[in-house]
Amino acid sequence: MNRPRAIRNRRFLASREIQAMTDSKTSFAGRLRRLSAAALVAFAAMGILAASAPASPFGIESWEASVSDTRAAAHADGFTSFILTTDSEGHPYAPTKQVTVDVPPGLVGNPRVLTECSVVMLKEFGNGCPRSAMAGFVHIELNSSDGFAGVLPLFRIKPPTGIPASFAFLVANTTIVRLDAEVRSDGDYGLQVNVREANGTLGLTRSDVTLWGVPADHAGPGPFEFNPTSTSAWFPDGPTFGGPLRGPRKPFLTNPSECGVAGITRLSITNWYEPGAIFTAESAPTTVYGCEILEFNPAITAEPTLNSAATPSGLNAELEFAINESPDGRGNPPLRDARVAFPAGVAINPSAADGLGVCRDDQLNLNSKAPVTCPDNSLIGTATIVTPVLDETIPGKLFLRPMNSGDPESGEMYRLGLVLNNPTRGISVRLPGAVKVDRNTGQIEATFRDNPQLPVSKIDVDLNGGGRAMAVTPPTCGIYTAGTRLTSWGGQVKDIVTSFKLDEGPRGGPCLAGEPNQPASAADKAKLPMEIGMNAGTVKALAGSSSPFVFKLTRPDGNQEMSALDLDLPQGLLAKLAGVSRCSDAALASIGTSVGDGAKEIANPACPANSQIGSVVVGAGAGAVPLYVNGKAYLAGPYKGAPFSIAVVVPAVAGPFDLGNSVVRSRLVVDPDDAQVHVKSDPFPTILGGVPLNLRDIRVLVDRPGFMRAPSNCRAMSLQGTVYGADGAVARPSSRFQVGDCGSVPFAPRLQLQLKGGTKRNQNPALTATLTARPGDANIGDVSVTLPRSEFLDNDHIKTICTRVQFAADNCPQASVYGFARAYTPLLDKPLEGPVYLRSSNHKLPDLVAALDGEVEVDLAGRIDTGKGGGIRNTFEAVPDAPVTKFVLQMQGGKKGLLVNSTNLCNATRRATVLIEGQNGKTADQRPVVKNSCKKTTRKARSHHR
Amino acid sequence: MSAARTSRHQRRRPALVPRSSLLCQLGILGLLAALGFLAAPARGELTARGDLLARFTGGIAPDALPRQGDAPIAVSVQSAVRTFSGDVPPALQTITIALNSAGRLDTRGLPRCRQAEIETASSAQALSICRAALLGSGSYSADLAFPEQVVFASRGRVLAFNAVVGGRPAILAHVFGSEPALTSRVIVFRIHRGQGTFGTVLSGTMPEEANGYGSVTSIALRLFRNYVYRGERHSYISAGCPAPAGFTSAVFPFAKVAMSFAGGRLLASTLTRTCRVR
Repeated sequence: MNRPRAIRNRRFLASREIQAMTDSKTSFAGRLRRLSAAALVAFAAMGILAASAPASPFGIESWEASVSDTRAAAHADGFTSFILTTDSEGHPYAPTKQVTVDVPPGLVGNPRVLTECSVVMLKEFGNGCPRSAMAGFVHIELNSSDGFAGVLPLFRIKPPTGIPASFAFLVANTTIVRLDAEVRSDGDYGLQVNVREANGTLGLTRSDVTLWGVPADHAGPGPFEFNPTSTSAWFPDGPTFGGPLRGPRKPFLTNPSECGVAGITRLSITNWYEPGAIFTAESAPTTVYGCEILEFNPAITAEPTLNSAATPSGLNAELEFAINESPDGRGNPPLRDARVAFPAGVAINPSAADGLGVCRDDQLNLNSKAPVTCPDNSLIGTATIVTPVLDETIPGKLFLRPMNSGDPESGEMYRLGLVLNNPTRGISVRLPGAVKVDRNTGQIEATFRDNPQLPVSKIDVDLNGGGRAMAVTPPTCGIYTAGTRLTSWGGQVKDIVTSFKLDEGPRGGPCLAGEPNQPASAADKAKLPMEIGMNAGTVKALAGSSSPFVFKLTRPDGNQEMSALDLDLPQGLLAKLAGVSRCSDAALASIGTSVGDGAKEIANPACPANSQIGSVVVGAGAGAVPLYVNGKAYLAGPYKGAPFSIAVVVPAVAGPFDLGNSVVRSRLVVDPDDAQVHVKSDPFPTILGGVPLNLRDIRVLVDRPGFMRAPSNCRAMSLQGTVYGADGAVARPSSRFQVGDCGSVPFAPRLQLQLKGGTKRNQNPALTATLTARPGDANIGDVSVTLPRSEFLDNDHIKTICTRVQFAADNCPQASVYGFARAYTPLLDKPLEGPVYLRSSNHKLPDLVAALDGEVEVDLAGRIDTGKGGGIRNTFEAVPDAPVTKFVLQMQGGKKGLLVNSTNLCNATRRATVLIEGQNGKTADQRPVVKNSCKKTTRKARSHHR
Repeated sequence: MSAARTSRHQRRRPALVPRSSLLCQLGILGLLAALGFLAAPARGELTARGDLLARFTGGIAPDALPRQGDAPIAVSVQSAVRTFSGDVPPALQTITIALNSAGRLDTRGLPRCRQAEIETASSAQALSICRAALLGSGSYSADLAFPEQVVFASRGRVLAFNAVVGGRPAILAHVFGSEPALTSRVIVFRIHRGQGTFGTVLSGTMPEEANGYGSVTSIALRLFRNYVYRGERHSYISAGCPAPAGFTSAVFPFAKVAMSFAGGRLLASTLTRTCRVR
């Protein structure tokens, strides 16, 4: 829209600039112009300059910005010039209100080399500022009533609050024009010079500003110091000012250090008549050269703030940059990228997540001067910047930003925001930082890219320490090395290796592994101890009662990571699975493990509620205050050969992090011989999202009502754990377990025996034994049944025997089946049942083994021998401590009958001797009549006969 | 009294053993004994084949017998089997005991026991049923080796009962054991007439011991039964000591015992004993 006007302006600019060169061959301004005039002409012709404004005659007729030396980081003089459009009488169309000049990033000035003058000195004493405060000069043309045109000294003055540096010149001894040098906050952090609220009566039509690269080099021939008694106009002859400079020669301006990038200086002007209208122009681009010879010599230390292994610790990175203050050389390129790779072992501490918040983008307000409103709980560190251009340091705060990715190695998962804020100076720099974390080792690499092209002599970044420090030190003592790559804006790359020593163990104790004076080795971790504590038991320690079960595993700092657990429950500590749903494999598989899935699982658990059997609390992280996260324990179906499993689902949601869900499944292996339950876990996650979990505390509460059942045996037992360390160690913690009050548990089971089939001598009857127990009775401990001497073992019917190898392989020959058994238990939905084998044993005769199958497998092995009375005795010595309401054993008769009558059963009533001992020590001995198939009349007759 | 008893026995001697042949052989043996060529082993005869070793012992009691006629005797035979390696011996399948023809079996008037009566019975039960037919007793031992189990010896008591099986005289050896469990079995020794020196042959087929898991390691039997039948005293076994004139003792082949095992091996030995003329 404004293009015709812009073109016109550029044409005008070109002719005018050529004229200006002719007119000022000997002037300083003219020298500056010569440096860039040719380029300006060329770029103007190419349409680089542009002006935008509403349809108003007011406008920028020309705009020029250049430096006297285009070598990178050179201390060149800088020059800007703009001319406004005027009417036929040379008046501006509107009085200028504000002038803003945005210089290319990297072009910086150091006001500290100049003496700071005051407005009072400047105004009241008529340019009474010292020569050492002079940064350059200004040539302005005013078409006001005064019609002033001339050159004025530009002094550094004390800036107002919120402004880093200010410069000012005095117009007509009455009007001070202040140039505020500020730092842009639009991302490139270049300098911006503003003249605000300009005096509208001045009638500004042109302004040329010259800033000296090395002010002391511009001492003129005559006396320069302000002489309050002099009435002579300032610089009537142009820029021949000068004088002896007080103080050393120091560079004031420094060119950018980045080569190959076109630096453009932008001009923005507003006037008093057109509020909101901004008239802009861009200079011809300036490209510096010679970056390759710039010197970039940083030094760095990067280390934990504590020298203790396996301890939460702050991290400190301190960078120092040599600043070449020689006015004759070139400056040092500022830091562009910093990448610090801490050694493996220095990792994110999960404890830090507790209570941690994040600073959202709308709170951090990157590339903006809007206030930073990050919550306090997102503050994870501090920083201090020392810059040679300011008297004071710039304090900084390091904030944690929200995750943008689930890939810890992307740098988008753990994000930082560094806010450098100096309100007094109006400096607010916000730098995004990325932390890449090795997903397998947790090694941290922090990167800050494209740092501001501002001179910095020192950067000190501290990550919070304390119990919830963001980092944890490596687990072993030794010397560790950190690698740092620093890249300058000039392209120099420095790889620096620094080292630090850990010579104490956790929390200042002795080293648990590793030599403090030797380089740390990954093999040292295998020497770490594994001293795991375990506490477990039922809440109510009453025999046979239903009670919640609690389990706690603790791992001290500095021990090997826990990677898996085997837990042997005491015999008799069982669970009532009847009526409990199983969380299906499909449901478990649907539980997401990606970032963000944790919250979904919390809101909408994948497993059915009826499958939940308890809750889990997991403590992770080094130090005295681990992070605790909650999870749930579900009953699941068969898994890896076990009939049941427990799935522990822990949403890894802590503070601002949602690392998905951790699903650890544990097999519940039921020992078929004694029904003892062995819990065998899958490997624990040891690292999640690149964060070594450092599991410290695992608590399981199985509190589903009526689920857990205590043994009815009051002997002292234990829970035996086997905890596998991530580096090869094995711990075998144990927790004593004993229930009491066995005496109050009743015990009165009954056994009925019946011989069916042949009743005559030499015949082989079938035998049915039925044991019934009342609910609430103590569980049966052992049972011994001695048959009457009427029953012999039929040697000839001992045919096929199932070997233990065959039995273990569930491959017993069919011919080794001699009976069938069925057991009813309230713990399971369905009874257990299966064949009865003769199986090889450690006794003289093969055992009679009931291989009960169903939801679990239980093998009841009975020893066959001779009882006290001489009859065949079958003894089940290792009856599981489990509630059984009914047990039926049916032995075959006939050709498969192991019993043979040695007399006619109908001759007399025969009794068996049954000794039953409860798990609680009570006995229920009895002498039941062995029923037979004799006709009732016969028995009646016999009874009558007796 | 002894002479009278002898004459009764001579009259009623069953034609099991040709007396002339017996006397002839005893005479030769007595001569050899007198010359000192033969001597009775003190601990029984050992015989081996391969890894298998058997020891046979036995004899008669009393050994002082009349030169002329018979006198009641007790005959004991014991065989034990083992292997040099200590392994369980193969299953004993048959056992044959051939007694010298000088011995005479007399079952006339002796009650008989039927096999079915004492099958699946304890010793006491068997005795209560067949006490009248009791001929003697003994012992029985077998190694039981169930798969994957430690070998253990099952011992039992043996009761010998007079019987007729298949129309021929027989001995029912009732074996009863209570360890490790009540069990019983009956081994039938059939009696038949032999040729030559050994005129009375007892041959028994051993029942399979626990479906082949067991193996007999020893069996001992002592037969001695005096009874009265129709007013006359009888002895189940009787014999004399036909030493040649001028000799007071005689050495004679008392018995020949043979055992066959699963796999076809056969162990046999002859037991030579001495009798004295009383």
